[in-house]
Amino acid sequence: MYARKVVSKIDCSYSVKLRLKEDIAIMLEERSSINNSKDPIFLLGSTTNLANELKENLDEYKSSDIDIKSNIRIFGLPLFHITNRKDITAKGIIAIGLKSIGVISVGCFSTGFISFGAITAGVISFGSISIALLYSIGGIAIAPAIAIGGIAIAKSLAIGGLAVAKEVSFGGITCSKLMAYKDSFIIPGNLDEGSAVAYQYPTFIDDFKRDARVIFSQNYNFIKLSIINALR
Amino acid sequence: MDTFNKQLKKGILEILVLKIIYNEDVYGYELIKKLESESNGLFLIKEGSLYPIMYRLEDKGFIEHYRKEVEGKRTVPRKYYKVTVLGKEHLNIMTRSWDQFSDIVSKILKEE
Repeated sequence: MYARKVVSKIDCSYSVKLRLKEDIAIMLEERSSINNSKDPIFLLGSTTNLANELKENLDEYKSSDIDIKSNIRIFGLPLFHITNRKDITAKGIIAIGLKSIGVISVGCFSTGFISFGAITAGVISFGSISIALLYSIGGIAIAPAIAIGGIAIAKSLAIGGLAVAKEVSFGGITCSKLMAYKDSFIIPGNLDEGSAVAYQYPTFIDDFKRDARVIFSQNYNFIKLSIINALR
Repeated sequence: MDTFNKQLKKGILEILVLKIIYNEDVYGYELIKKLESESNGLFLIKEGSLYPIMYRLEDKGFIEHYRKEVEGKRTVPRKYYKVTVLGKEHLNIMTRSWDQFSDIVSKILKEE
């Protein structure tokens, strides 16, 4: 309790705080064995005094840097790694940092199975600019299965302000084989006018849903539910 | 004058701490006591000043610590510090610098 109070008054990195806590326990133990007292304030002075003395001598450790890594490792990776340091890439099952790599990864530049951030790449990814192997949501979203975003580019399904897909697109301006558009649509260059179908939203949405179900039940059962949910 | 003494002590403390650990492995409180006795009471420092020095020396690789169980009612083992090879080299360099520095300062101060 005493050590925690002292450390809470010092602006230094997390690792130094841990170090201090451990050493304050040692200081107390040492003083206690000599002075035959267990009162920390009697032994080392008030928490403020000790904190001030330490602060005065910890100039180079003064920092708001955070770099926390879990001791628990799974497949060689720490359970979590959280850092705000520019020179360190957070790597862990859960990784949070300016640059991050993890199963769940959060960062300005993040890569992972599920990644969140400004510029992201992953199997499922969410970000301002987001590229995914499966699902992607973002300002600019690119994914083979489903992309949802201001600009969405996908192979199967794109939903967004500008939605471009090979199969199905839904949004303001659309471009794909099957489209539900609000403002306008573009027929893909590789298709004849007769091969592309465009429905205006919301008037012909039921027709669009019907056609979309046909496409996804034939080829992409795994995303069938996703499109139906998205359209709801 | 107080500030002058304080700065002077602060500057020289690192070399003294390193030298004491070089002579013999010591734990924190023991080091404080040794500093006090060997300096005839000139260097009266508290843990709050000592441990940051230990961190700096440890982080630079000049010293390292090991834990040693002590008989009695202690719940935490003692943390002993020892000088590394790098620390020994650094101590030699610092000692030479200090000799040169103190010679020159003494010479200038004694000039009439």
